[in-house]
Amino acid sequence: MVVALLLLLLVPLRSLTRAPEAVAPAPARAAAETRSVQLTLVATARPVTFSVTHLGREIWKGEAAGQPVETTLDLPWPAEGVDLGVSATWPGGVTGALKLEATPEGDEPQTRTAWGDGAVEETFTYR
Amino acid sequence: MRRFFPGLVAVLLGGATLFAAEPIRVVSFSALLSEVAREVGGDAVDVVGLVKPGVDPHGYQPTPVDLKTLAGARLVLISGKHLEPYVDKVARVAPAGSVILSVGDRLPSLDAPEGGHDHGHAHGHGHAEGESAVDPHWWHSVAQMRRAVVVVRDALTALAPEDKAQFAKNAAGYLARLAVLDKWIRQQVALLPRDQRRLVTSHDAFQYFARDYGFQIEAIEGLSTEQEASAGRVQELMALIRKEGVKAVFFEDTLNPKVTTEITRETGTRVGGMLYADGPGAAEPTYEQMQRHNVTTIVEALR
Ligand SMILES: [Zn+2]
Repeated sequence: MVVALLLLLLVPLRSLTRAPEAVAPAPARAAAETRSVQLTLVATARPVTFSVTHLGREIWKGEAAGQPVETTLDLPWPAEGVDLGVSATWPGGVTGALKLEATPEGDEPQTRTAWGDGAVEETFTYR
Repeated sequence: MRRFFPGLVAVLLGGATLFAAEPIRVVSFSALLSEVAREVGGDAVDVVGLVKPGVDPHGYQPTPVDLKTLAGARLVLISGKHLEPYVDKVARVAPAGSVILSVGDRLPSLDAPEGGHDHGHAHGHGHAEGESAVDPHWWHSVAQMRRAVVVVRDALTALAPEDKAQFAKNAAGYLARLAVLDKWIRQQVALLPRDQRRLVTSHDAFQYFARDYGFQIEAIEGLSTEQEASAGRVQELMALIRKEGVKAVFFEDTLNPKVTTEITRETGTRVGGMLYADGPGAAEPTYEQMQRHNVTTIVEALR
């Protein structure tokens, strides 16, 4: 069956392979729109040392001692959404929650929360 | 006579203790469910895996020798969601009183989009034309695999309630490892922009993976490896690869990569590597190995 399939396919494929001299490399996709995004981090434990990554690169790090901390940065923000990696540690191994809110300019805030004992390491998705 | 009775009871109880350790015979028609049964059942089960890692389950048919292994089975594991067209035959041969558990049928389904993948061929899943097919590849979602562990744990517990605590402990350990695996996958795919998570694969096996981890799937063939790709579908895919600038296309361990290679030659995109679509392979026979191989291959190729 597989052989029959391949024979069937080879006919149209061969007719296509004859045409151009060189194959053009695939074009790059249109880049996603860059937006100004406000990030706000709140942690129940204190003090919390945290790091936020986007596409494997650290985009924000710091400490939070009970009060919300925030920053604003420009991020490519495709319609399919954005994943942010969050890692944080705090002393004592106690159970705590970490909340990361993302607000692309002109949009509603989106909040994601993770729980951990002394640490969290999560990937949050925002649309 | 009466005064010997206590001794007789003691002998019978001793005998019962010896034979109580007889493991539950489990016959599995899925390499992944064999793993689940071994992980959860531990020493209390004797698992016979008929569909082994590296075997294409779409093409598998039980031989008379395979069916003989059903003798003495107390639990028969089926992947389900119409993956096994021979399930009626198994039901006829399985011993009276055995439990035939179609695990996938206990899990939420993804329906293949009606008309969404018109490959110009008849589908091979026993559903009428015009009906939507249920996607059988539930295992590509770690969340689904975790549900499957609970289904198997509960089935084993019903068969051997005396081992309930052991099954619960084994299942909890395995579920914890799967949770770590799921987190690792999310971290890895987060290295790819969500608008570039497009998987071009040989057959349409990765929709559950796509739903959980934010990918779009474009398959050359349909839901089964038994279905054939049309030249029209191949041309449609090549146009899409050019338009979207798809970086790589992937082939599968149990399928010939010839068509994939032709597509890369035509479009200038590259072969991203081999994926395990229908279960783990002989070289990487565990669920975790399968997922780590697939995710590493995908992320490296599309990054
Ligand atoms: Zn398949």
